Amino acid sequence: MLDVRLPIGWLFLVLGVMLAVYGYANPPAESLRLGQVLLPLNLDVPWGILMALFGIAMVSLAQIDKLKALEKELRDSQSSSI
Amino acid sequence: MKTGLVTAQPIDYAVILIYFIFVLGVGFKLKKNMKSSDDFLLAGHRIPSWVTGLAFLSANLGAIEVMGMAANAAQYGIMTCHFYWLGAIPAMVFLAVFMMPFYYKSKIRSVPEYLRKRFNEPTRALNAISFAVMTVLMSGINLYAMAIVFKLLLGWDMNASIAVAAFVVLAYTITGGLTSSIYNEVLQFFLIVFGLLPVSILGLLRFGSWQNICDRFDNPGFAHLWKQVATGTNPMGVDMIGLIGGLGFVLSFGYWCTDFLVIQRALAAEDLRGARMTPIIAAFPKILFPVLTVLPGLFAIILIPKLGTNNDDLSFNMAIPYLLAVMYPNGLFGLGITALLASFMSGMAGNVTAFNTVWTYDIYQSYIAKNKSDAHYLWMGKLATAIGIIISVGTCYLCMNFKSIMDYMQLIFTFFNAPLFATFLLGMFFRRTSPWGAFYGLLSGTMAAVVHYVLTLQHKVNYQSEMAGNFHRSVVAWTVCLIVTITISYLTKPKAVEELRGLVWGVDAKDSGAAVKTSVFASPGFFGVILLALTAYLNYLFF
Repeated sequence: MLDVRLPIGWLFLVLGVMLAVYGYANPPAESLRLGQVLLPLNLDVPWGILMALFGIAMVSLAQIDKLKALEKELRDSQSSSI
Repeated sequence: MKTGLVTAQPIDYAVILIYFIFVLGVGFKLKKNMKSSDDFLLAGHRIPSWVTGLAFLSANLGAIEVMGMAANAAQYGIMTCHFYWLGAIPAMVFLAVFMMPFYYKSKIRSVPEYLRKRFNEPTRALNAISFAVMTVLMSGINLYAMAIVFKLLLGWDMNASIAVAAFVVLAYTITGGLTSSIYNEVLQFFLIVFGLLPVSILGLLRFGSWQNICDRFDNPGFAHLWKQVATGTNPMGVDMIGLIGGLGFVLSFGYWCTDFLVIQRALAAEDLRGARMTPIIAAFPKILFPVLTVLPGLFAIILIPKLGTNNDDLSFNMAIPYLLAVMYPNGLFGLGITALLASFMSGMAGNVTAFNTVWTYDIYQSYIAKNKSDAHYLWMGKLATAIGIIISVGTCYLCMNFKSIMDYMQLIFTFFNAPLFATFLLGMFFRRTSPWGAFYGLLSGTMAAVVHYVLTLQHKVNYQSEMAGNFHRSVVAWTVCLIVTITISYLTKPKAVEELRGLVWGVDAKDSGAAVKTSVFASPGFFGVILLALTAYLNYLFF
């Protein structure tokens, strides 16, 4: 059955890259306004990168488990053929 | 058309669109696994416990949790954390340690089915019908809250957003069943975390420290969990009995330990240990959830002082949506909106997938069409999914006539979950409880809640706030159910011990065999103690 980490990973990778690229290409006209304080932060970029990294981690975990399962299958079939 | 508060950019719409594509893709991809009614309605009992754990958590991360808790925090202050640190966590530990073994080992497919095995058909029918009614009523609330947020924020037409969301939920639940619903709940969990966490981070950056936040409250009681409870002047207007007995015990335990919507996620786990670990795994992030829900509500009341001055566009419910609008740049705003959308849809899908199971197994298969083929029940499960969604759209329009979503919800819980928890407690831990005792107890508990509500409406019983009334009502319903059940149980014949194997504490199942030895440090009980210690510490910290 579908490993749930794959759709999660890919979705976050795609959205993260989109946010980071959009934020980089369209920096906000003014600093981030929080009440009376201005914060010089283009939030889309760091948050997009963080999301993309999370996505990559999820996809990698799913791939590692898939490879492990394949190895185990291979070992089992070899031991049964002996 | 009236425009909303924010002008969304193409990037924001692109984020929403991509989310829709993934959600539908997951349902489509799972379609080929849906061969039997068991696959469709129960996810075939093969989902890893970390997935069921997150789904358990996010099944109730719908409109109520995200917007309702923030709204409560803006209205009552940090006392809202009692819903987590007094209510949810102890109840989740209790479920994992004491109740889950009975649910999982008795091989039931739904909570009403346990009542049939432990008691009798009428008790099951009473619970199945009331649960089915409750879920579709709740499901509509999610749609309504979603539509109102998007109307105020983006100026979207309410009918159009209801139709689109209902269609997407229908498409992914009818193709992938419970598995699809659970997968999307997990996806949604991460979206909520990534979509809302920047609000808390930016807020903390803005204010610097907890002390600075507390200094800005008009009401100093907003900063304390317990300090003003004893004095009766706390913002929530509750006393110790209402808070500890009503919220901490009856309402929380009633919801977390008997509501099939959450139990169903744990039952989908691959083995008993997985089922018991489901609430435990869910409880660890749950402890920290106030950071995502309560904290933004506290920021909102400081940053948007007009909040709560009317019940329309400045209602407390709008706390989180407005913070997203004020704090987020385009792009991230799309993500925040998608997170809210996902939470509404998953809340609705959770209700619909619990409804279709109870309808198909506990009502249709039991009373309408017995002994049909599995393919027939699979078909019925899908039909029930579609009908459940159509009824949800109907109840959504019904909700529009109510002033406050949260009060309406807690009211429904006092009618159904509060007495049910007494029935379960006696059923699982008191062998003498008889089938008819349970039936009349449950019925009279529900009736007591209704009578109490009518008396409150007529101002014959008065409380400081709606919330305090709900807490007390739940204690009344629970106590009446408990007393009537015990009394009638002693007057009627109990079930033979043989029939209670695996269903009651102290009567083991025949085939239980030797229990698998696991280390104490890997047992749900050990993690439960850690959770309770952490919760106690937090109560002390924000005393």
